[in-house]
Amino acid sequence: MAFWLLLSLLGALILLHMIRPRFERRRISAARFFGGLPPARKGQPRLRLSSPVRSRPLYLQVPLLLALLAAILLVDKQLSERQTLGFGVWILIDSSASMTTNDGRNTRFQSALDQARTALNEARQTAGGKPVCYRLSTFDLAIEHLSETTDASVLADSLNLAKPRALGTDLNLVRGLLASLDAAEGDCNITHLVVVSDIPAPDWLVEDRATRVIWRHVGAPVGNVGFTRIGTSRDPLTGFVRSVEMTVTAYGNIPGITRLRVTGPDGTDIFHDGLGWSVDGLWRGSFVPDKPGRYLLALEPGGDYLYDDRAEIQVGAQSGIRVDWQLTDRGLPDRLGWEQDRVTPHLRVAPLPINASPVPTLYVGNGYTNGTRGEIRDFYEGSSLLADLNLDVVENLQMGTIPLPQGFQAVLRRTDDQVWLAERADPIAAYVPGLPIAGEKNLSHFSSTTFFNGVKWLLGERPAAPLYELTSPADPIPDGTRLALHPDEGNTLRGRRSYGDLEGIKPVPIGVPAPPLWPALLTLAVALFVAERLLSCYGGPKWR
Amino acid sequence: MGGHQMRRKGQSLDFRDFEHYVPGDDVRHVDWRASARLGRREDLLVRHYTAEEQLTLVVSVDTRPSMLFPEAMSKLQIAAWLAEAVASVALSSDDKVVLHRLFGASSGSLINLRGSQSAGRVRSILRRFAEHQDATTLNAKPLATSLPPTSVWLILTDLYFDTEAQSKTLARKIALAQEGLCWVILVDLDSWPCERIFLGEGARRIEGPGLDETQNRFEITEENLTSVETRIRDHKHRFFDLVRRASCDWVPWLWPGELEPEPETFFRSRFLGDKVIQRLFMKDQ
Repeated sequence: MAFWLLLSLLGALILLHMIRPRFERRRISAARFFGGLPPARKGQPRLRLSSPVRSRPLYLQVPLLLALLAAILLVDKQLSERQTLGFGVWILIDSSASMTTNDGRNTRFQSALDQARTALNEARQTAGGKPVCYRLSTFDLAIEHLSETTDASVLADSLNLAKPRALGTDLNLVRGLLASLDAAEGDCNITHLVVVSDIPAPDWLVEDRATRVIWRHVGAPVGNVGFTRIGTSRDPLTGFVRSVEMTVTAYGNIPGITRLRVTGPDGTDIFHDGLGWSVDGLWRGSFVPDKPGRYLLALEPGGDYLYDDRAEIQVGAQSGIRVDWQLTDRGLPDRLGWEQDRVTPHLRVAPLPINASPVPTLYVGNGYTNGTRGEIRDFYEGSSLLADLNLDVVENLQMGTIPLPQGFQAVLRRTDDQVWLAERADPIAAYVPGLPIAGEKNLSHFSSTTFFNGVKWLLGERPAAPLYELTSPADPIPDGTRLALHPDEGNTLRGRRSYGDLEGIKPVPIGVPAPPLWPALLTLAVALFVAERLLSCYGGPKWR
Repeated sequence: MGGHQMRRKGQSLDFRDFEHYVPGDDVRHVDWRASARLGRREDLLVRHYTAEEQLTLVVSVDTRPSMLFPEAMSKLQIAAWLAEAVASVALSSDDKVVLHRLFGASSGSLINLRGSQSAGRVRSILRRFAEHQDATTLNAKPLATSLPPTSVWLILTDLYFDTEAQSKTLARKIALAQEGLCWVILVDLDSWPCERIFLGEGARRIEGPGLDETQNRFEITEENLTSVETRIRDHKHRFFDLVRRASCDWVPWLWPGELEPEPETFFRSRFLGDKVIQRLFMKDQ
């Protein structure tokens, strides 16, 4: 309407400039000399095409109207562009182990599929007959893409492909997906992400996003009893499993009777008894695996979540430390149960002098009794030999010293350049003044600490074989010692919290609108108007 | 300011020449010895002198309504610039300048200026003059005492006087000034070439001073324009017939035949190229 009005105005303006008076007015100083001339008989034609061309104001008035015209056109166009709606729905279903929990009639995963179908129907009705981009994925410790289509019925069929897996839940995947969706541009413009999970809607959903998120929580809170930790207590030097430690957690009301049965490798029960719960619903206990092999741990009865009710663990064969003990005093290795092995030792303990043996070697000095006191000059702070040592007492001990052996790094050095402790990186070796001795407290502590620090450092980190492994996206099925004891999966008591409503699946404006041009055109029109008026007032007759 | 070293016979310091005695000469200036030596028996020789006096420049500006045209470059605007220019030069030479409104009531129509510091007032005075557009009365009386001998009288007008009486009065005043040894310069601001172009051809409703508004519709033809041009020329000739007896300097400033002339360009070219104006500023050797 406004467009046609302005177009009419433009035409009228040009017509106005074409119109000329029948007698054009001329104001001159020599008017008096026209007196007495014969008067004109007729005027001139009213319209003249050439008149607008000679009219200077027209050159401002026409651009003014054109600017207004363009502004009006662009306002309509740009507003309509701003209202361009996009619609794409991505349904993301939680497929973690906890989704197998039975709430009564259904498992949580079946409830999630129902929610997904509802969301799909909602989107299909909103879209009418228009093609909409649909995606279906599941998430646990990884996102599995199942389908991408513009046909809602195809997506509905794809829902049958979705299955829960005995895996944990990584919400960071969903958060990262959202961030990537906000930044993504492509053929399939996803405007809505529908997440269906038994985890309550996280707080970060309220962040301002381009993609609308609807988080539907499924599953009623139910009680559960299950293992939440199965660990070990190990010998620090050998890595031997001293005991297996278990934590059982009761979510919800503490059950009346829950029994734990631990069966050994030979099929005999090592433990079979009811659990005594602490007030916070925890039970902690342990057993000593007296032989290597498989142990079966089972709770009777378990809760509605099944993957944490039983566990199979493997205790590996225990092998001792093999040592090439070259000292005459063999009391210590005997007490520690170290096996003498000159051919393939883990460690060699030898007296001075130093040699270049490739076997990790702990060189032991002449003891702690025949030395003299001295002040510390410097020490090597990064050395493992100094772990747990109190250096303040060192200067009062009468420890034997040696000159720094060639190729060694001084770890603790006296002011006279003699060293108490030293180490060598390659081949790995260490020097300590003597074997652990009893007696004066500081000396006993220093001698024991430095000796075992040296042994531990020379033995290095010996990886202990795990009792079990967790299922992973690559191996999602629990089998034997591959367990589904993922953190928090057994917590089936979490409260319900959804975010957004499935009815909110409506088309939304998409794209970042370009800066509108019409305000600039409007400003130009105003400037032209002001200029035209000013020139009309002060520019002389040619602008009138 | 040049030109004001006026050569005239009179009482002065510097001897110029001898001339034959005529009745009216001061007998005290008869050089009896020279008469006896050089002249014939019946001749008496009178000593004449060169007089150098401080100049009085009187600038009369016509402010009647016809001076407000043409709108693209009004005659009053050009007259004001010219008046301001010559007045500024004169004042900077420590000459006396008298600004005079040529028409209208005599009150406030004559302003005496002296000293270079007065140059700044010229423009405002002329602006005040321009507000007074009475065309009926030629304001000549105040000039009686303001035109001393040897003064320069610069008249800026378009000569489109309404009545014959106005022409006669001004002509008479010019003659009197000449008799009083004044140098009269009449700048004729003639905008007809520009207005002729502005009129164009075709049916026109002419407006302007001196034309009956009920009978102002004319067909502009070459013939009619030539007729008007003749009328203007005749009108001026009649005035100059009255003035010519006194033989003043007539300086025509003809507007360019353009629809939209550039005032600054026009003024600069005329002001710098006009011989009479140049003489006004020239020092006698």
